[in-house]
Amino acid sequence: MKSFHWLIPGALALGLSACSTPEIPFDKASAGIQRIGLLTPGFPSGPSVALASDPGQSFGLVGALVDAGLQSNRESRFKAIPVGNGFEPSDEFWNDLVAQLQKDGYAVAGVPAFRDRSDFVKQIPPAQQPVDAYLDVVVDSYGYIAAGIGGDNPYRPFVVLQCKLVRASDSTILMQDRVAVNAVNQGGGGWAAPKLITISPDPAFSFPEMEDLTRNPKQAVDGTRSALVQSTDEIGKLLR
Amino acid sequence: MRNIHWPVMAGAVLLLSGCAHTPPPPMLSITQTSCDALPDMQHAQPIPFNGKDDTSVSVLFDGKTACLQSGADAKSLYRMYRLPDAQSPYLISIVSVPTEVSVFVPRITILDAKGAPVREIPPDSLTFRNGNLSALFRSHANDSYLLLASDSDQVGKSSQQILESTQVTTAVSGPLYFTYHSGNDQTRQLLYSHNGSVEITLSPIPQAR
Repeated sequence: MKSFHWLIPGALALGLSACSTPEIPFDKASAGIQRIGLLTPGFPSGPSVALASDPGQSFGLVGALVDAGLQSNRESRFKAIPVGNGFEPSDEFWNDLVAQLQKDGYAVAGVPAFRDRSDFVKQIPPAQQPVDAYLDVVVDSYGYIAAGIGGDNPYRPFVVLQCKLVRASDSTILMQDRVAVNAVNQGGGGWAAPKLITISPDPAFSFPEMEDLTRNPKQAVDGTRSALVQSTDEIGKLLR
Repeated sequence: MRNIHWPVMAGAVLLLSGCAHTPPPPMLSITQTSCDALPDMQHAQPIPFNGKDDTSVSVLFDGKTACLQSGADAKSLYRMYRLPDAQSPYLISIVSVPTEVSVFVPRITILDAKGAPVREIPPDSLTFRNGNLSALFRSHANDSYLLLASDSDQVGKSSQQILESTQVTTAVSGPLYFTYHSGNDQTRQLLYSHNGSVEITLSPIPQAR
């Protein structure tokens, strides 16, 4: 899986661009979908640990370079935590998603798919067994984000993803949406896209400083897991 | 003239302060004693829709809104809408915009041409979109009326919201200016209420890429 870190923190702070993905609600009663081919989700190579704002942004190019260095440092310190705690985010995400779909009565078949960037699969590969529709999910980014510096702006887990259900027989888009756990700048005329699904993070996972994340690896992993589960729950809800 | 200016200015200040946005308090019970036993179909407001362009209707639910006796002890504020006779399915979006402390919690029922309920949008399918409590669904062929009511089962419950935001502050000193970026992390408890502002939008189903 490729790294999509170039998307960060722009997509995080902006809650994703509003223009690319129109929201299409699923209508289960009329769609007649029982078997879903679940494409290998797009998933970043590692978590992001981002500051949505910090004083470095006030100092032009120099500040931006300093910010980039600090972000890289935060992420390299955090990256070891999931690995060290036996946490495989993409595997757990897949398992949660399959369980969520099966709970709602769908038969699920995995469909290996590859993509070269953080976007939906352009050419859906055929499933090995008959399916009624393909579900394509792209996790744009996940990890931790703080609105700003200081203990009043704690790091909280976040996930940003987009998902799409495509009818196998005629490629009709049956559902398409975007989900953000802990979107920055939602509501009140903020920057987040107008119809982006916005879910509050679990308040139990709040880390005042970066050091609190690295000092509490188990809680940090649990917070990441919690946000990913919130996002797969929402995908399940969209397909009910 | 000078003597006149002061009262005018004072009046303007008073008017402006009167215009300052003070959200109405959450309405957690309905005091009206006479509520409709059945929704009033005759006064249903039509929502025009040409099949191509979005149509929006903004409404306020407050103490002047009609009420419905929705159960033995349950009352709801409600509004009735006539849906268009469309040739093909379209999207119905219902967006309840929160105040700082509360949000109108909708119960959405679709009725046929005779006024019989044909389906209810499940309350657990409501979701927050960009911070607004929202429902987004497709129309069906026999959808004729939209009954939008407050959900008395949910009123009084609440939703905890964590809102992270960023700000840019600009300071000017002589020929120099400086921008400062900062963040804000706020937790609020939104109370589900009978009253609030709602926007209903009908739109064509978008052509996805």
